[in-house]
Parts: sequence; structure tokens; C-alpha cells
Amino acid sequence: MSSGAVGVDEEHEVHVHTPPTSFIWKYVFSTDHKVIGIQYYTLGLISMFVGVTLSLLFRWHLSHPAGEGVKPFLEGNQYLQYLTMHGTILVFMVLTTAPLGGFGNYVLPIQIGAVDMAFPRLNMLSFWITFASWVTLMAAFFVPGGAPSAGWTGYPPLSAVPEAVPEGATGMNWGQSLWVLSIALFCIASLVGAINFIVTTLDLRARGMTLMRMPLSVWAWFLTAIIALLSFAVLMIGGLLLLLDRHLGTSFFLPNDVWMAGIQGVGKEWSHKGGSPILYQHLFWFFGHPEVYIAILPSMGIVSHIIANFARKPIFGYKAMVYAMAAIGFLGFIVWGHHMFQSGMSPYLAIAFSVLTMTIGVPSAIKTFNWLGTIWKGDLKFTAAMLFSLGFVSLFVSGGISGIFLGQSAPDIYFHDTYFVVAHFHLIMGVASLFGIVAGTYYWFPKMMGRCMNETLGKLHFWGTFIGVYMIFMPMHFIGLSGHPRRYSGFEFDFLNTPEMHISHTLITHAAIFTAAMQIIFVGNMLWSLVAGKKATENPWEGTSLEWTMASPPPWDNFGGKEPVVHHGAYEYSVPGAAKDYVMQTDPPEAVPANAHQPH
Amino acid sequence: MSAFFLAFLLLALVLGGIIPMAMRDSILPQPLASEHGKYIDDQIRLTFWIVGIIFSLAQLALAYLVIKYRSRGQKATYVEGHTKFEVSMAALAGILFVSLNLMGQHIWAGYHLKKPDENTIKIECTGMQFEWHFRYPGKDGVFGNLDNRLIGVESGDLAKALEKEEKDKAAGKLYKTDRAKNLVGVEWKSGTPGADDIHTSDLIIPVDREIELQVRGQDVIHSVFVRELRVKQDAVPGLRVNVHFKAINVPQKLPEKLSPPQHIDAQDVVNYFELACAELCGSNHYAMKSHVWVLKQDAYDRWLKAMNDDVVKAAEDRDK
Repeated sequence: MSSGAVGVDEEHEVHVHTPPTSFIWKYVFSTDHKVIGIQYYTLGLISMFVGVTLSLLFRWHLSHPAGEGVKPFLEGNQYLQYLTMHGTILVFMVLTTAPLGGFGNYVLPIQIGAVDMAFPRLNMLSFWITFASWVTLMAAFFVPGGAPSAGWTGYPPLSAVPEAVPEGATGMNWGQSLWVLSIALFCIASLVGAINFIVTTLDLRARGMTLMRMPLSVWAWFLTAIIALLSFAVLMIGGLLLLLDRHLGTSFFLPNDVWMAGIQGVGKEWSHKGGSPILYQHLFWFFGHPEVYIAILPSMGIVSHIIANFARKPIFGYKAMVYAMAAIGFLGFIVWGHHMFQSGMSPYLAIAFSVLTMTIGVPSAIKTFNWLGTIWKGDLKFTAAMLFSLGFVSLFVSGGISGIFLGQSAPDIYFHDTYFVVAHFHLIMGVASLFGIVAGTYYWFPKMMGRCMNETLGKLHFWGTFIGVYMIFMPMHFIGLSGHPRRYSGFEFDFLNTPEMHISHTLITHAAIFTAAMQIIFVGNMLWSLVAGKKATENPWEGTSLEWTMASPPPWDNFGGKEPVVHHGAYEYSVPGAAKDYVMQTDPPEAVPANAHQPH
Repeated sequence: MSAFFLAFLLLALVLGGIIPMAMRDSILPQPLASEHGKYIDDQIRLTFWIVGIIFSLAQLALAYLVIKYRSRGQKATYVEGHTKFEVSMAALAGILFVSLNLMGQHIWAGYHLKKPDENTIKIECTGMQFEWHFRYPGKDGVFGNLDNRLIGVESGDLAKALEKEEKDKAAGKLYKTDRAKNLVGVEWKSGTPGADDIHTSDLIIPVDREIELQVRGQDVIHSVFVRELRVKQDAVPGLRVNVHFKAINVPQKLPEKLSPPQHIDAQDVVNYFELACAELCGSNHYAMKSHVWVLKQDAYDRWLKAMNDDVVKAAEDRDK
């Protein structure tokens, strides 16, 4: 069929095309959602490595400050360049690829009983545009002027005017333009991908797979895709306008009265008029806040799914979990101004955003409560996947709680642009999300690769990482409370040049090195298990959802030519009166006694 | 065993996170030196107690549950949820968070929306790469006009400056401006409101007086940040944003070696704070340093008079 969609011929048979045989069509330009999922995941993993290495470099710089006879570790603008790329790579190339593009692509079609995504060729296109975006971003390191240095947020005028950086200094030349171009490409890829996810979830569910029987991971990917669809377009526009300001002399973000040493100071004219730097912030954060939910929602879904599996209990409050995720998604669109309280926007607007921001605490609290409710009265198995999922719950609480300080406009007068903010978003967006991705890896690796990962190494990986991330980010709250500003590459101020500050920085850096080293265990485990891991059975975790009904790894067409028929919800664990402590979604209707579902 | 180790870590997290905070005299830097700052600190302290309790309960609940329900051959209980409980928890959380927020909004309103009266001292604060500049309106109480074409122009005379620019352009001269000669581009030729404006690179204020700081940016976005005053405001090109605060008289152990600006004696200094930039503005963002000098009222008046005299003399010298 020319649309690329898979057709359904008869009642139980699904008509599929013959699988490709050559290497390039099978593993490179593949339209198979499973291959594409792995491609996204691999891109995310490599990006993780690059982004973390950058952070270790600038963290080393911070704990070895320049002094008497001591040269700084990083020269010139390198600190800001590495910081900018660290943020950009991690937010876009890791947190937006691996959870949604990686696991979502691989698992969603299977979990709803579909043979592939609705638009497999568009799916392939999404990945390769993402890859092009990645190459464009990495190219920034190698062009004249080097990588951009205006932060992952790239506020104009700093990011819009090359002369904002002294002549000869790095960080504001082609690198900044490539940064914008890379993000624009990423937006296109994400929009195309989002359409695919939404249509697939709505249209390609197997018979009996009602919306309320879908695993929470599917709900998470579905809702995330809707958020992405609505927010990425705005970022693309913001980026486009920035590019126009940079190269075509427009003034979307550049006002009249600007005086720069590199322009008027050398006799040139300021040619811009009538723009607003704050407009950029509105466009950026209108995307930027939903983006953090794009980063965390998939992990929430994965973690819910895993906790139910290893607590041998239904998820507590399934419907509430769905509504909570939807509420988080919706509310996420009307709070962006809390990133801009001190920006100079109207104080009245700030009050509105501040009050609205508090409401996001409500669905978040419900979800936390429900994860605890799922564990309560369970039969807990502490596999690596479960440990990382439980770790996610702890990190979500820790990271979320600092948000309560930041969402209030007056306290934010103090906290804005300090390390308190850095601690907050790393815990809730960076680390919690990553724990979800890692949990998903331990959980689905056997299915995807046909081999089990080593559980002992997995547990060791968990303990090291869990301790490590708290050692990195808990102290950051304290230095933030002392007023340590963000994005500072040196210690000129007396209040920063104290023994406590230097000790804190050293502690954080060492914890970061330790935590990064722990990830070697993870990657090593994956690589080793790929060749020598124990062969995985169909359902090693005794899970209920559809991916556990097929061979590990799944056949090319997932369900072997037969469309599954679903009779149960996704979390029928320990059903009273049932034969085993789990009932698969495709088990016959009688497997769950009629009176098992109590009203609640 | 995993359950016990995880529970132990969570306990350590709660103790390690909460106890150091609870033990501090104050969560935020001391001395707290502004009136609105008291309210900010109170709000932060209240938030700390509320979220501290929630944080501790959640982490400890997790710790307790993982131990109690670790697999020991028991069968899990088939519980699908409890809607009433969910709804009441949600309502409770909502009321708590929104109330907490509403309680603090008066601070924000005062900070931004307070109307200045005749006792308010208005000071303009300009952020530029990579220094701060402050301007006082002088005896006439009116700020002189700003024009970017006057930046670096020592005469402060716009007509003269434009004339010279035309001449230079015609002669094909491309020149470098010494910005320092007129940092923010004030029209200060005799007879203009700017002639008596006072310029400093440090912020000098009297204690116990309302200050309206009018914050602006000259090239890129900066942000003026004084920790002890609990003041922060982005300095945005194209905008002029007002913030209001009052320095209160608080004891402070001043640094041994104090180098106050001209016309200020070290013994007149009540408080001294560092002033930092809090918005990424380029390579020297970390080094954009200035200071705040809080003086006794009479010392401030003396300083102001001395600065006025200097400004008048400078204007006379220019006219010659």
C-alpha cells in the first residue's frame, strides 16, 4: 500500500509485506518500528556519553579554579560552550529521543497489538531527520568559533548578535547558527513522530484493547506525543525567528536601544528596531515547559508498568493515573511564565503563572501516592528494573519538592538563576527521567535482544548510581541557597571564594565522576549480555502485557501473522480466584472471575 | 538485602537533607538586610517546613513499604484503587499548595508595584558587558535623557556628537569609542536635566529609605542580584523595570579592608554587600562585580552633596 500503513484484510489475519533481507534495508533504512526504536535508543546512549563527558570537563574546571600560578582548566569561552552543549545534547538528544523515540517506538505498537506504527516510512524519516539534527549539532564543535556559548536556552540578544561576544572569542559564530538549525530539524522530526504515535494509538489497537485497557506506558507515550505536537511547532518558530534575526537583519527579538562594544563601539550602526528579547523567552518557554513533561511522562508510564509487574499488584488507581498524566500535560501548557518571573514581564502575569504552577503539584502528588499505593500490600521483587523504578519515585519526590519553592514568584526573586534551580531540574528532569529509561532497559532488554542482562551487575549499577546522583545534586541545593549563581565559570566574588563553596564543588565533581564511572557497568553489562547473556524466554518477568506473549526477540511482524484479541486490562496481577498470580491481557475472559473487580 | 539497603539510603537522604537545613540559623545568607526580604525569608521558611514534612513522609513511606512488603512468600492483595481517598488527597494537596502561594503574593506585589512617594530614592541601574553602572537624578530630581549616540561622548551634547559623526563618516573615519567617557549615553550638557546626574559604579544607598531601582540593560540581558537584600531583576535591553526595596539597619561583620568609593568614610558604612550578575551575558558573566554600600542617612546626605559638587565642577570644566 502506497501510504506505508499496514492493511487489515480479514478477521484474524493481518496482511504484511515480506520482510527486507539486505543489511541496509533491514538495519539502516528500516521501516520496522523495532529497529527504529533501537536506532533512537542508540543515538540517545551515544549522546548521553558525549553530554556527560562535557559535564565532567566543566565540573573539573569548577573544582580546580584558577589561582596563584594555577592556570584555569578550561580556556576562554570553553566553559560556557561545554555547558551549552551539555544542556542541549541532554535535553534534546537524550531525554527526548530515548524515552519516546526509543522505547515508545519499540514497545507501543506491540503493547497495543499492532504490527507496526501507522506510518512506518514516516517513522524512518523521523529518525533520520533526528540523526541529521544530531550531526548538525555535533558539527558546531568543529566550525570556526566553535560550539555556541549562550546556554541551552540561547536568549537573545546574546544569541542573536555575533558581535555580542568580543572579537576573537569563541562561541557566537557559526556554532550558534548550527545550534538553531539543529533544533529546527529536531522539531520537524518530533512533529512527524508525534503524528505517528497519536494515529497509531488511536487507530491500530487490537480488538479488545480499549483505551482503558492500555498499559500506562502506552498512555504516557500517547499523551507525550500530543504535548510534543502542540509545543514543538512553537519552538521551531522561535528558532526560525532567531535565525532570521541572526542572518537576515530582522528584529523579532532585538530592540532599538542596544549599544554593543563590538558594533557601535567600532563605528558600525545598530540596524535593529522594535523587537523584544522577552518575546523569545515566551516562545522558548511555551515549548520549554511542556518539554520537561515530554522528558518525564514516558518514564512515569514505564515506571508504573514496571512497579505493577514486580509488586504483583494492579497499579493503584489506574484511571487516576491516566487523568493525572493528562492533567500534567494540559497544565504544563499554562505555566511557562514561571521560568520568566524575573524577566521583566508584567508582574500581574507573573502572579497568574505562579498560582497556576502550584496546581501541577496536584496530579504529581496523586501519581506519587498511587505508586506508593501499588507497592502497599504487594509482593515486591527487587529486580534491577524494579530498583530503578523505586529510585525514580524517590527522585521524583525530591526533584518535585524543590519546585514548590521556585514556583512562588517572590521566593524565586532569590532562587532564580542560582544552583537551586540547577539542582531542581537535574533531579526531576535529568535523573528521574534517566532512571525510567534505565529501568525500561533492564525490563525490555530480554524481549528486545533475546538475552537477559546480568541482574547482579544491574543491582550494583543501581546502588552506585542512586547514591551518586544524590551526592551530586543534594549539595547543589545548599550552594544555591547561599546564592551561588548559575553558569559561573570562576570565583571572583568573596561569597563564592569560601572553603565551604570550594569543598562543595569538589564533592559534587567527585560524585559526578563516580556516578559516570558507574554507567560503565551498565554499558558493559549490555554489551556483554548481547553476546553472552542467558537466553531469554517469552515472559521472563511474568508480565501481563502483549509484549510478553511473543518470542524474545519478537518476529519481524510482531504477532506472527495473527492479530491478538484482548480480554483484560494491563494489570491483572494476583487476581483472587485466578490460576496464577498474573493474567495476561490475551488470556480467555474466564481467567478473571466476574466478581474480582470490586467497586472502589 | 535490597529492601533494607534501599530503606537505609532513603533514611539517610531524609536525615542528610533535612537536618543540615533545620540546623542552620537561617536558610538564606545573613545578614538579611531588606524589609521585603524578611517576608521572603518567612515564606521560604514556611515552604521549607511544609515541603520538608511532605518530602520526609514520602521518602520514609517508600522506605517502610519496601521493607514491609518485600517478597517473603506472601500473596499480594488485589487492590485496584480507592477513588474517595484519591480525590481527598488531591483536594488537600491543591488547597495546600495554592494557599501557600497566595500567602506570598503580597511580597511580589510590593516589590514590583509599590508606588514611589517623595521620600523614595530613585536610582537607575544599567547592566552592560561586563560592568554595572548606577545613575542618580541629582538635585533636580530628574534623570537626564539617554541616547546611545552619546555613549563615549564626553561633552554630553547630542547636537555636537551628531555633527562630529557626520564629519567622521564623510572623512571615511572608522573609530573606536571609549565608552568609559559616557558609559550610558547621558545628555549632560549645561542646562539639561542630565547635567546634575550622579554616576557611580557601586550602588550607594541610605539605610531605612525606600529605593526604587530602575533596571535596564545596554547590550544583552543581565540581571542585578544582591543576595543579602533579596533583590534580583533582569536588566533587559529595551526595557526599564522597577523594583522596590528598603535596606534595614542590621549588624554585619564588615571585611577588614574596606575600600569605599570616594566621599565615603569606612566608619559610615552600615552594611556592605557584593552585587552580582544573574543572567548569562557572555564570557565574563562570572566576573561582573559591583558592590552595595548602605550608609547612615547623614553620611549618605554628605556623600550626595559631595558628589553633586563634583558634578557641578565637572560641568563647569566642560563648558570652559
